[in-house]
Amino acid sequence: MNKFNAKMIAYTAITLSAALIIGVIESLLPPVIPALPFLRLGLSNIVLIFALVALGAAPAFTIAFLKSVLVPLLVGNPIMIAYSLPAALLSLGATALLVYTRKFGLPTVSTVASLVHNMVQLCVASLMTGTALVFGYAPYLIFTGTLTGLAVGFAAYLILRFFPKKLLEN
Amino acid sequence: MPYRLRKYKSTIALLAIAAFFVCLLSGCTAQKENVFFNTDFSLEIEGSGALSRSKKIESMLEELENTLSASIAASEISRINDAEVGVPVSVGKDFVYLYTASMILHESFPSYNPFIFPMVELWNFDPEGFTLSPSGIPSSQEIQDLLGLCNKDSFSFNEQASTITKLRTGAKLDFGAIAKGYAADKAAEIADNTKYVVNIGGTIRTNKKIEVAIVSPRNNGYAASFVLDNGAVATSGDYERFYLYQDTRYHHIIGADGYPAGIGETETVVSATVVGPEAAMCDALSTLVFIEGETTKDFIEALGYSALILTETTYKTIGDVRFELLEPREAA
Amino acid sequence: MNSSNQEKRPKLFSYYRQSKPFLRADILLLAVLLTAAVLAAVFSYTGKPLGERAEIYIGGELVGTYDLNQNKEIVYEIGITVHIHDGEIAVTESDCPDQLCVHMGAISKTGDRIICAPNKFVVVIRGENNDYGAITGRRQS
Repeated sequence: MNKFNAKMIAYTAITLSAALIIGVIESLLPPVIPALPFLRLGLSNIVLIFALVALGAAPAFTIAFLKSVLVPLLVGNPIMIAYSLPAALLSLGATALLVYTRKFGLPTVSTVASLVHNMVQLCVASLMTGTALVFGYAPYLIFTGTLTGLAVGFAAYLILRFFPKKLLEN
Repeated sequence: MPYRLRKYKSTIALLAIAAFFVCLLSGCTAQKENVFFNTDFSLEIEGSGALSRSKKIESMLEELENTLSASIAASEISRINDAEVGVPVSVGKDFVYLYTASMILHESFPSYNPFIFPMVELWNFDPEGFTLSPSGIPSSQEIQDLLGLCNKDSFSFNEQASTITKLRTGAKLDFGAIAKGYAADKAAEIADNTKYVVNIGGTIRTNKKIEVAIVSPRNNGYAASFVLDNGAVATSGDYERFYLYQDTRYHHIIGADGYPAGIGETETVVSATVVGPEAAMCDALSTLVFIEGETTKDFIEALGYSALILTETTYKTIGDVRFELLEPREAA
Repeated sequence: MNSSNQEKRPKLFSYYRQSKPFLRADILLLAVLLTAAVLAAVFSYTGKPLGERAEIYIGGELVGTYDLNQNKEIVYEIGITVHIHDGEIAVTESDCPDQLCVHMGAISKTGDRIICAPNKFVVVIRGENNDYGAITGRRQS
C-alpha cells in the first residue's frame, strides 16, 4: 500500500478532478443506447488507468470510488450511482489484475476493462428493469466497448509515455 | 526516430483518437415517448445535438400544452373560456397564430369551426366529460339553443393589443383541430437540420423518407400506406373518439349543424388523411376534409396538399400522393 | 518515505512508459476477446431473436422493458396494472376516469401503443420487424 503523503494526496486530488470533469462531460453526451440512459462509455478509464500505473492501486480505487459517487451527484442523477459504482470498481479490478501481470499492453487491458464496465452495467440494468432483455444489447456493447476500450487504452498509453517523468519523482 | 517526428506522431495519434470519439458521438440519437395534448407523443431524432434538442422539444410541448389545454385551469384557452363577457384576455404568440390560421379556414369553410367547443362539451367529447357509456345524447332543442353561440360573432379579437374579448356568455374556443399539427411544426423547427420523425397522436412531421400506415377505421390493421418524403400528415377519423348510444355510433367531430359530422348519412366519410408540407395545415385540413368530404378537392389541391378520403366501402384520393390501399375498397 | 513503495511505483510506471503499446500476450487476449465477441454476435443472431418487447414510460421516463413471451403482472404505484400474456400486453386496471387505456385491450405488434393520458403512461411495442416508419390515425379501442 502506498503511504498517503502530501504529494500523493495532491496527485490523487488532481487526477480525481480530471476524472470528474471527464465524467461530467460524458454524462452530457447522449447515451450509447437511448433505452438505457445510464449506461456510459467509460471514458474516465483513461484517468483510472493512468492513476493505477502512475500512482498505485490505493489512489486509483479511491478515485474510482469517489468519481462514481460524485459524478452522478454533480449531474443530479443519483440513480446513476447504481450503474457507475459497481462498473467502475469491477472494471478497475480487472485492469489492476492485468496491469500487474505486465504481460499485456494498455490498449488490450483497457479493452477488457471497458467490456467488464459494459457488462456490469448491463447486469445492473437487467436488475433495475427486471428483465434479461437488456442483454440483447450485449453484442452491440461488445462492439462499441472494444472500440472505445482500444482508443481509451491507447490514449492512456500516450499520456503515460509522454507524461513528464520529473513530476512523479521525488 | 527523430524527436520531432515522434512528437508529431503522438499528436496525430491523439487527434485520431479525438476524431474517433467525435465520429462515435456525432451519430447520436435520441428517442422520446410521452403524453401531450391528451395523446401519445413520440420522437426519433438523430444528428448533432439530438439529446438536447429532444429535451427542448419536450419542454416546448409542455409549455404549449399549458397555453392551449382546456383541461389546465391557468391556460390561455381556459382563461378565455372561463372569462366574463366584455373582459379582454391577453394572449401570446402561439394563440395569435392559431386563431389567425383557424379564422382563415373558418371564413372559407364555416364548418371548420374553432368556436364549436360548447357543442363538443354538450356531446361530452371534451377530455374532461368524455365517457364510453353516456346516459343520453343532447336533444335537438339543446343543440339548436347552443348553435347560436358557436360562431365568430361570439368573440372579438384585437390583433394589435393581442387580446380577445368574449361577447356572448357561454361561448368557448378550442384549437384541438390544429394544435397537434402546430406543435409538430414547432418541434420540427427545433429539430432543424437533424433527421427526425415527430408523431403527436398520429399527426406526423418528418424530414426523412418513411413509409406511413393509415389506421383502418373499422378493423385492427391498416387501411392504406404511402411514402412520406420530407413533409407532414394528419388523419381525422370517426374511430378516434366515439361512443355508442342505443347502437348508434357518435364521434367527436361536430359538424356545422351541431351533430357529429355525417351522422345518419350513408357512405359518410369515416377517415380523412391529409398529406403536405406543414403539419398544422394537414391537421386542420384533415378535420375539414372529414366534415366536408370531396367538395374540398379544389381547395386542397390549390394549397398543394393531398388527401385520402375513406368511407366504409370506398376511397377517393386528392392530389399527387400515391396511396396504396391495404383493405378492399372501391374507388369513388 | 517508504522505500519499497518508492521502488515499486516508478517501476510499474516506467515499465509501461518504455513498453510498446501492444505486447506479445495481447495477441492471445485479443484473440480470446474477438472469439467471445463473434460467439456473442452469432448467439444473438442464431439464438432466439430479441423479438417484440414492451417499453413502459411514465411521464416520459422509461420505467421498464419487458419481454412479451412471459406471463407477468406489473402494478404501478400511479394506479395502473399491466398484464403480459402470450406475446400480448394490456392495461387491465387503471384509476383514470375515462378507462380508455383498459378498453384499448391487448396490443402485440411493433409500433402499437396504449396510452393513459391522465397518468401520462405509455406502453409501446418495439421490435425488429417494423413495417412502417410511423402510423397516422389513432384507434380509440
